[in-house]
Amino acid sequence: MSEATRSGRDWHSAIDKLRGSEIESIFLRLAVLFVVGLFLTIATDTFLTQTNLVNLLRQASLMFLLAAGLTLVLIVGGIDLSVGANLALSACLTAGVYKATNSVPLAIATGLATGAAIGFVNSLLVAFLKLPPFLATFATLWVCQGLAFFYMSGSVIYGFPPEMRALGSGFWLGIPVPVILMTIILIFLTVFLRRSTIGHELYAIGSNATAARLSGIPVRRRLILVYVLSGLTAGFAGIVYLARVNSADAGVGEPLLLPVIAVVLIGGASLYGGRGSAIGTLSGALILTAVLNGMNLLAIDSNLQPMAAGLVVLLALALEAVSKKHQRKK
Amino acid sequence: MMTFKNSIRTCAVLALSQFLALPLAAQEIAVFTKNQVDPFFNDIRVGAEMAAAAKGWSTVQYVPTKPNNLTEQISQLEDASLRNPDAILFVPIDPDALAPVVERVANAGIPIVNVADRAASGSYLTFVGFDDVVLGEVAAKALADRLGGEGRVVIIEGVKGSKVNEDRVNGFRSGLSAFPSIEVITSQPANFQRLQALQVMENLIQSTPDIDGVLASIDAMALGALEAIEAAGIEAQVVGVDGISEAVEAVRDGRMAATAEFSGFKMSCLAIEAVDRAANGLDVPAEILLSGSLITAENAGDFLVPLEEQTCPDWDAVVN
Repeated sequence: MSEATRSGRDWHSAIDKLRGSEIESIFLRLAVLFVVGLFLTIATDTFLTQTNLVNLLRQASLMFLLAAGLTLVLIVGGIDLSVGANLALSACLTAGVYKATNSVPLAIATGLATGAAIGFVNSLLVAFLKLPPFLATFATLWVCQGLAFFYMSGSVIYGFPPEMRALGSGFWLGIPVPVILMTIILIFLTVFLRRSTIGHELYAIGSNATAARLSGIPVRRRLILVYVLSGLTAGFAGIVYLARVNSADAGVGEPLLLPVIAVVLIGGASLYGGRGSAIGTLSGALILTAVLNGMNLLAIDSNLQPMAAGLVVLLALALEAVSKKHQRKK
Repeated sequence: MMTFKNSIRTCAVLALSQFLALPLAAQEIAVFTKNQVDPFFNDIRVGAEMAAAAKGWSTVQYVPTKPNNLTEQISQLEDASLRNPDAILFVPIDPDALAPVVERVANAGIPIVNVADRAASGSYLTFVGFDDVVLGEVAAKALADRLGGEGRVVIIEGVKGSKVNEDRVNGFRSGLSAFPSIEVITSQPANFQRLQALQVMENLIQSTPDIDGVLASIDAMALGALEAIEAAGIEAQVVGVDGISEAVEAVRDGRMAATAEFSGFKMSCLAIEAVDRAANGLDVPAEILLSGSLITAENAGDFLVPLEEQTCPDWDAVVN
């Protein structure tokens, strides 16, 4: 008993230490965002306008929704490659159920259930079969992709009612609905990770799974929780996607996978686990979106755009590496 | 030595096919498309199946599990040729990279029809498709006419380096060059993605408030741009290329100005016809080019016919 309490105290203090560096790294990200924003404000006369900022937030919100659950998975030291395919399958089934029943609540429930179910399968593979998360979720990526292909058989489902489209393209008190959803999830996740015991346990698992288990953390149950949440947010992102573009096809998820992983990593999460935060992921989404937005505003040659985006991502990661080196020297 | 190896391989394949009871139908056409995602390729598959059935051929479909995956299509072509089909309808993911495999299969005596994405060279029986540059010009002219020959236009491009995209965008530019009062403000990429086109358009509306027209190299991107335009409440005319049903409906309803027809159904229909004619010793020209129709509000209804009720274009009318 005393053994468990002591190691318990150990990981609590470890998290306190981690938090110090975490806060520094969040400042760093906000600084990168600020520099990108400052540059675009000087270079264009349209970046710092209310409509463009609303635009930017709305564009970033879909990325954030998809990345929110993935952040938790990275914190426990896992990875979820199935989020893009999950988004596609959830969007397709939501669309299909709506067309079959004309019921918006039923359609949305289908999308959320699909997302969570895929997450649950991932969690069983990772927590019980002990498959490496990379391989397990790579396999479910294909299964979901295949199911979506089979279900849609090359078709596109389009045309949804205003009450459904409101989730992606509506406004509430002048704020785009996806931005409101993003804010709610941001607050919820931040409180969850910073204030709840379970949140702290996730960092402990990611830092050292064995130590976490020995100190009495129910690792399996926590893994189930994070993979289900990752699936759920991906499914939810699928619904918001559908509501925003007013159509669904089987191919919508694949192009989102690498950008969403980039968003979480730019946001300060680590592929080795134990790091990451909701606000960090938000700043990652904002940095990436601001770069794409800025390139359109500046009308940069379309041949140069991928390279420019890559360089900014590199810059963000390089800054992080330099600051870590600096911290170690201290 | 080579023939010995080949005959062993043939024996092995025959033995294997006997053992597995593979349906080595006497008249089988293998149909290769690029992905399961784009409805356009579904049109090609359905068109091929219907035309083949009408002429007493059977079809086997090959589609990469990962959309537009070149290496997967290469292995699929190699695998399919072992079944020794009577002909192949081939939409190449990358015509240049696939040339050597196509060469090998053609040398084995299997006629291959190049469909939709044109290969610069290779031992194809014939090419069936549309000229993408012409489609781009048709779309550009439709937009220019709608704008009365003057205005500010943006181009939404697909994946950089894709031949379809480059040809259509070149077509846009050459089509617009006949209208000196039309200014192309910018040409921005949205990678053939609807969401990206929506977001790119949102951003462009910020930087250039007075956009009069939009040319998108595929309809899915035109529809994404249309969402942004309607949400922002600006008056800009949108023209796409492809003629997918959602876009045709938007044209019919007056939300989109026009789109240029790029019918997968017609292409694969004619490709099957070419295979059938070649098998019966009739002449097949080296290329069969379809002229794309412009789809406007007036004729949109004609393009909303379900696939099952569509008919093949008349061979002689197209070839001559």
